[in-house]
Formats: sequence, C-alpha cells, structure tokens
Amino acid sequence: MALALFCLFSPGLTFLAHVFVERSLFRWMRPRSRQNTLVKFLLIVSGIYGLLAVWLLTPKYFSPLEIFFNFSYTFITTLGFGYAYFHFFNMSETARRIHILVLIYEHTYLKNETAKKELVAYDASKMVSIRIDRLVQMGALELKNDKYITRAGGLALMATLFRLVRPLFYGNEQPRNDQVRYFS
Amino acid sequence: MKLLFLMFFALPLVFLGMTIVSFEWRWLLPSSVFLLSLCVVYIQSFPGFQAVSPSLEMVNAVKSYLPEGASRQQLIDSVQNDNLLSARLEDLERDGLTQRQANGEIKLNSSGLFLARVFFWYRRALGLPRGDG
Repeated sequence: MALALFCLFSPGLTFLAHVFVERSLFRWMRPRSRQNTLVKFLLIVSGIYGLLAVWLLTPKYFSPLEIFFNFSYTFITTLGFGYAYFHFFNMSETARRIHILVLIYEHTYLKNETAKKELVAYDASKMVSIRIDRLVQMGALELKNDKYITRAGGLALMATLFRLVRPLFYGNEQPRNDQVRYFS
Repeated sequence: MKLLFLMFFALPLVFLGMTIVSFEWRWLLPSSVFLLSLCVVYIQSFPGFQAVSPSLEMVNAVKSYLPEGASRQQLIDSVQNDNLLSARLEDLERDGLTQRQANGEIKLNSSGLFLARVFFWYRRALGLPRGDG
C-alpha cells in the first residue's frame, strides 16, 4: 500500500526534481532539446523511484520475484504519471492556445506591452519556423543542402503511427486543423 | 473530450472510493493507482489520434518530399492558408476560455485565466521563459 501512495505522489516529486534540475544543472548546460532531455530525465527518475521502492518500502524477507514485482510496479506506474507530466511540460512549451492565453494574460493582467506585439506577430510562418527549428533540435529533421529531411527516430515513428491509427477511430474523415485542442 | 476525461478519471476515482468504503486498502489501492496511471497515459495520447498536431504533420509533410527533402519555404507555404491567430482566437472563444469585449479587446474568462496562470507560474517555477508556442 505504501508503494501505491508513493506512486500517487510521484508527480509532485518529479515536478520538484525537474525544478531543481532546470534551475541548477540546465542553467549552466542548456540542453539542445528540452523535450528530449525531459524524456531521458523521466526514465531515470522512474528507475530511481523503482530502486527507492525496493530499498525503502520492500520488506527484507521478500523473495527476488516479489522484489522484482515491486520494482516493476513502481517503475511502470511512475513512468505513466511521468508521461502525463511530459505532456504537461510539452503543452507549456509548444501549445499554440496556451501560448496565446499566456500572452493575453501577460498583456491584460501584467501590463506587458511586448506580449501584445508578440501576439500580433504570431502568424503561420512564425509558427512553422519555430516548429522547424524545434524539430531540428529534437533530431526529428535534418538540414542537408538547404533541404529538410526526416531522421529515423521516435517522432517520425509517432507521426506514422498516429496517421495510421487515426482511421481506426474516425474512418477516412480527416480532422480539420482547427480541431486541434491543447495538444499542439 | 469531456466525456473522455469523465470516463477515465471517474473510473479510477470510483475504485479509490471503493477502497475507502471497503477498507480493502491493501488490494484496491495499488490497482486503483495503477489504473489511474494507465488512464492518464491514454488521456494524454488520445488527442494525437483525434486532432492534427502541427509538428507531427510537418514531419509527415517532409516525408512526402523525400528523397529530395523540403525547403523551409515549402514547409511554410504548406500551412500559409491557415489563418492561425484569428482561427485560434475563435477556438478559444468557442471553448469559453476568452470573451471578446464590445471594444474588440479580448478578455480571459475564469477558466482561461486559470489555465493561463497555471502555465505562467509553472514556467516561472522552472525558471524558464514563456514557451514559443
């Protein structure tokens, strides 16, 4: 039961660990891609949670199989919450609606005049340029002879997977771009 | 989307409620937490199937230009017809997050203000500037 409670509160611990890492380590060593780094960070943190669960919360008389089960349970459960945390961070970084909401907030409530200028200048070409640069930083795209090509990896695989699986939910009807919710 | 949230958050919460009522903490709590973890994974993944993610669409767009590859301008042109800002502002208004005033100014509704504050302070806590969108 202690394991379950530990897992339930793990997102809070992950957030605190993320704040610590961002404010200390990444202040001096800026990562190439924050998203890629966060994925690795969450994998490591979930592994540490699993080890902590075995070390602190598993009775000494447990068999190796039970110890392995406790590790796996903690690792998988905290990784699931970590995945949700990754999307939350990703929304704060990439979501267009969140970006617009925060700009309106800064302009209206914090009287930040540059926020209004940025909001007006936020057009399609700027959005695409930001995304191209981000995809290059993440290693999903590569610039060769002034042309962008895809690189094999997680994001290219995800793009194909989502395109293939979408018809299972919606048939051949393609979603409109304005159906994008907070995901992008 | 609201139904999805209701379904996948309500189910683990019902489990947690049963845990409290039945006092079967030992068995029900670990399974409830595990179920909750799987549910949040599904909830976070589902919008990817439901809606267009511009980044993933851009990767697909580049793939369609292979093996030569796509120039920056070709990629920008591929989404130029999308009137980004006004379309997103209309979406925000339709979802009840913002409200257009009589003088044309856009005001945040309570839910919009809540979301904006959460993300603003989250970035502040991390010591990061505002996301690029």
